[in-house]
Amino acid sequence: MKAGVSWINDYLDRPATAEEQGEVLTAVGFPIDDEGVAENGEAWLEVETTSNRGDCLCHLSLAREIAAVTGRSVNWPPAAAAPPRVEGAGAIEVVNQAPDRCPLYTGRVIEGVRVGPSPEWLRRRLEAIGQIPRNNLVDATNFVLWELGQPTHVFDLAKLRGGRIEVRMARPDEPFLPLGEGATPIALSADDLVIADAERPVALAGVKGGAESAVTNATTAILVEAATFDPVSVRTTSRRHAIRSDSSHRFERGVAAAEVAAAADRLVALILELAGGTLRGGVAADGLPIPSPRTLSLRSSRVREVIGIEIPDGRIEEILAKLDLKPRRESATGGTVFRVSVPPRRLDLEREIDLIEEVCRIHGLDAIPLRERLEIRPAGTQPRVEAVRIARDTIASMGFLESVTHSLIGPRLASSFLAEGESLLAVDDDRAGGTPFLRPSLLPSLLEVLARNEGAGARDLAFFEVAATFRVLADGTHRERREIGLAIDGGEDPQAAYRRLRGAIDRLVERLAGARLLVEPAEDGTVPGCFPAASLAIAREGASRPLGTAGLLDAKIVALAGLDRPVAVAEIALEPLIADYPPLRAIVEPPQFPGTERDLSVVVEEKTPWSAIESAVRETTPAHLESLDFVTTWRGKSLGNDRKSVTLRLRFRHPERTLRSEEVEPSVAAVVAALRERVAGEIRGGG
Amino acid sequence: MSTELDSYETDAASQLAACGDAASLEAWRIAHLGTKGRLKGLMSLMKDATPAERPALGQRLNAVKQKLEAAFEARKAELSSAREAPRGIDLTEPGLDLASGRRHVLTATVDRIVEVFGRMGFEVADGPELEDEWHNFTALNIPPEHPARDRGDNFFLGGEAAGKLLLRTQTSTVQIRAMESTPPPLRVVAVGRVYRPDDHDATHYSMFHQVEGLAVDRGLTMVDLKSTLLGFAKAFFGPEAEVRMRPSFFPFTEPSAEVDMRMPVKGTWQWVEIGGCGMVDPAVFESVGIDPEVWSGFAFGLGIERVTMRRHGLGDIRRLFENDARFLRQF
Repeated sequence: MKAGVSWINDYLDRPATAEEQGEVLTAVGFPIDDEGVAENGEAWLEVETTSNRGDCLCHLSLAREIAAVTGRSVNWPPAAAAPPRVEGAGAIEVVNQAPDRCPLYTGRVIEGVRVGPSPEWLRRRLEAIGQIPRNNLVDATNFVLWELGQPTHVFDLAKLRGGRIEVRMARPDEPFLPLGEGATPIALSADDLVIADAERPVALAGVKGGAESAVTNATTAILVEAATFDPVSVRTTSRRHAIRSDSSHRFERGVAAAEVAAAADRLVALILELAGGTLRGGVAADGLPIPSPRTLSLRSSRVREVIGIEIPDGRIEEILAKLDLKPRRESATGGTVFRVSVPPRRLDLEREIDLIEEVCRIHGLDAIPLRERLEIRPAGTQPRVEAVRIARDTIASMGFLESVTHSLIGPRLASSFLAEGESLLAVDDDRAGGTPFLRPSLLPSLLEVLARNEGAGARDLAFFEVAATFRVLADGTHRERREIGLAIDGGEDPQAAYRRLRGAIDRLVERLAGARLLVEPAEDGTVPGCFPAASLAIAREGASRPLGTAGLLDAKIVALAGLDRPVAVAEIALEPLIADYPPLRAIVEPPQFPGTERDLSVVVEEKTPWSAIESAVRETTPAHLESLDFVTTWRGKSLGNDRKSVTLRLRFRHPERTLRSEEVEPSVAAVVAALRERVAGEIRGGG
Repeated sequence: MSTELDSYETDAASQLAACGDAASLEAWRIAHLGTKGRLKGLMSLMKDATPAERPALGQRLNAVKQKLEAAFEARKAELSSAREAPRGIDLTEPGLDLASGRRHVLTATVDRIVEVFGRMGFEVADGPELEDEWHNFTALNIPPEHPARDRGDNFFLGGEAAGKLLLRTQTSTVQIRAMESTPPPLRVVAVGRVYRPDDHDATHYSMFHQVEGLAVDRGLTMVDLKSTLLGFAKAFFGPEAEVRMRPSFFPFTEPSAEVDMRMPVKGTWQWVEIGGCGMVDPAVFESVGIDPEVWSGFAFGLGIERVTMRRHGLGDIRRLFENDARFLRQF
């Protein structure tokens, strides 16, 4: 709230400068967001108030906080204030039909008021905090709101019909015209609490008065409303109709019923002083019994246990007293116990720990010492945490940029990445700004990143991200899973991009799981989002669970992101990748004797995959074979359109001696035979 | 005689030193050590010597020979290492662009933070981003009618899954999960994404990262809390770092405080609001079945984006999520 520096000083025995007020308030939990000087020369502070301290949305309470810390006294109530004089018979009846929403409603009638401008002192206070003075009645209610934190309202009595005020729920679609320039009629909900006369709503309870019952310059008799409303009810109505007011702001944080009468007396006295008139018929009130003040116990030993410093009992007692908690010291086994009586306005003080916080707050957090040494319990290493870091570092070291993208995505790309029977999760908020879906895959996000960078002129990039994905599985349960997504802009050479991707995954799986990567065509033919012919399932050797998928994104999907280039992608579930980290590795002694190599070029049909060639060779189990590597693929007119020549390299080695050339010939012959038989391969160039 | 040998040795050595390339070195070798070289010629001195002189002369001749041979080898090695570099090398050319990848500044910052807390005995704990109301609100002492639960302030699931699940608004949810699964004492940090439906601008994004710490033990106090935060600040920002706390309010801690740290902002040390902290509220302990009279604890939460932005002088949070390669490569 915006607070006037002079206004706060009105309640202090010794004034404090703006600087001191700001420092003290900050130190006790009310930081200053902004400060300045109003046009009339009055200094102001924008004081931030936490949601539990609705009682501090007024000048008197801020003065109390300053007094508690600085040893000043608070001047309240003002010595001149006498209870307003009451005359004559009651002029209105109050019926509260919703005491759960309105624990206390009070009405006071003043007749014979003269509406006019407020005096200079009042205008000055209001202008200091940016409020525009209207007339003496409105300004008086405003003044009490900013002085005591109690919102009130003044009705023009002549405009209230039937001599009766009802606190009731609105009727469905009941019309109501709120106060305020440019306000338009609204249709109320049956869940809105209203203040009504015998015929119609005259105020939206705790939120806004009605235009039709507002005071004007011609007003001579008024009804003064002072009440308290349920915070949730006020908040719900305020949000529903998008009407916020200084009143609703305070009621949402809670206004104590026990404080209502004093505030109403203050307001009536002020109106009688500023506008004249006569208070008639006492107070018309209806509601629940006013709760008696709460009493709490505070163990002084507990204060020291929580805060960790030796605060003497005397100091605790002093702080409690300054906060108007009226401490009574009692001795008990285990130390001193303070019995305190909580002022009704302090709705936040309900438990012992709340009092400990008060002691801590006023004693000052700067008084808590800093230790250079910490007591710790040693924690072990966490392989899974280490594994995720290594995964990220490993991928980045292979030329990939790490992205961090939003988990919510738009509808265009979202559903392309679901399998049969699966569906998307969506958030229920129009504030998601057109991206309401929890992404089922990291790939659409990576695709968008590639597209954005391509738009900025950057091509041939590779990105990865480690994050959660979300989907509803075919069995109806939802799944959140952390995954690694990789995407490479395939540019002019998608084959090279794919091999780069594959190489990155190979190395990642070797690094984290100590295993070889197994790649097979996807079981059901298609990875969602990928070309059917370029959809792969990936797994690690020796594990039953699949790791994920890889492939080339379908051009239709790539185009949806505004790209016109092939994109190679992979998506790996984090859990099975890191589950066995660090892998146990059996040491293989580096070979001591030279090996011998043979390159073979085998001509096969175009559709023959490398994996078929590879398994044909491996399953022959050639003697002394150390390794088998892919070298290159060659296509040319001499082979025809549907054939290709694949060059592979065999390396042979004996662990205990140098192999003679003729010793490997039987193995090479066996491989040649296997290739001929298993993949109909012809050896080119005589092997 | 001995004088003759001495002057020869000096002469040969100086000629060797003058050899500047392989050709002159070879010429020297032929002239001195070759079969018709000068050293061979000096062997004739033996014939002229008396039998008594011969043994000493022989030793002397051998010594000179060995010395010159060693000097020759040394000179040869010297010359070969001082060889001209291969032609076409220009060592002033710039380095090759290896197109190396880069970690994202946010995840790299997270790793560093986790590392520092690890050294202070905090283990990493984890939890889902799609949470239930118990872990996101109820167990954290946020009652059903609390404004923090308003649908407009949270990403609740819509459609058929509506109602009870939402994207977590704070990593404090992981505190609850950790206390549910691990009996005290425990010290954990949780890091991750959290979500709040803010409109995106320079300082707001509807997704951001938090690191949350929780310690539960016997006898923990606010002194431990403040000292732990100081330990982190010094380890993370440097020994000049400082910490201060200001009273605040969070439903799940009491007493609660805002944390400021004095950290380097583009090279100068400044106070920066960095997060919130407090002693675990007894109501939170009760919700997970821990006796608050026996155990006490503290918790803190720091904003990763805020730390990152202030450290690097970044003015617009959206840059962190655009993933422009020209931005990402700067870290």
